[in-house]
Amino acid sequence: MGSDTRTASEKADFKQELTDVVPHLRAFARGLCGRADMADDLVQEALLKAWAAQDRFEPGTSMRAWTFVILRNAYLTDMRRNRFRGDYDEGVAERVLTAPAGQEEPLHLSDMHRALLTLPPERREALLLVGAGGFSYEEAAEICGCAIGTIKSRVGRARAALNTMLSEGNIPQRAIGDSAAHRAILEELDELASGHSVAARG
Amino acid sequence: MLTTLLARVLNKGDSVVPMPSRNNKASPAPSRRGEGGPARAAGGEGPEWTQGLRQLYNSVVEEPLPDNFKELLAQLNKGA
Repeated sequence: MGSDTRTASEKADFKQELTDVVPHLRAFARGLCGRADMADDLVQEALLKAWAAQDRFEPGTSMRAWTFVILRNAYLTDMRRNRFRGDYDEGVAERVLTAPAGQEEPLHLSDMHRALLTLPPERREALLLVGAGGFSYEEAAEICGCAIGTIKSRVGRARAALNTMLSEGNIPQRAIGDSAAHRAILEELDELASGHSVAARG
Repeated sequence: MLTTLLARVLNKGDSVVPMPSRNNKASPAPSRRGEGGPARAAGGEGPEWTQGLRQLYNSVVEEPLPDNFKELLAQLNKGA
């Protein structure tokens, strides 16, 4: 399935499909890393990687799932390189929640988003994929490189945590203000990246 | 399916993973189906915030594409 075997029509199709998923990549990235500007940087990085790797995309399969894998791994790589680390202590949510032009998020949505950002990354991404992106558990498991049961568990734990935070109004003002929690999350990221990341290494 | 996918990745050492799913189009809110069963995180008996989660996602999906994305995509076109 090398580049020489791709017809011009297939290449055009790839480009169109890639273009079509950009809004979804932006939404997933913003949920993952919080800040809109960083999320867009991440999406651009993922788009370039996807473009460079287009020969490995199987026409007829899900472009959204394929590019989400690339985006997710670019995110994990960047996280491990400290790219986003410094921003967690600065009250990410407050800046994240600057709604796009012309849109105001209702307060409860802001609370929800801030609470979402307090979740460990692997639970947050599972909830984003299934609860927001509309992926099946199976698809989410493939994207994250783990078992379906693991995804179900992560989604369940994420939901339980959000339920508790939102029903009790106990939402941290800072997304990750606690250094111990921050460290734990970074350790989880390392584990995620080393155990399951087959995409976008280096 | 997953086994095939893993085998392919391990054999090639690829930096990206082609997905075998047949859901080809980037529909805004694809239904949750699959062998893993329906996911109820954003609907059904879920609390109010589950709808908010979808709303947050969709609000970004519906944003106009920033110019720098249009420029990037245009550049990809030229290189094709």
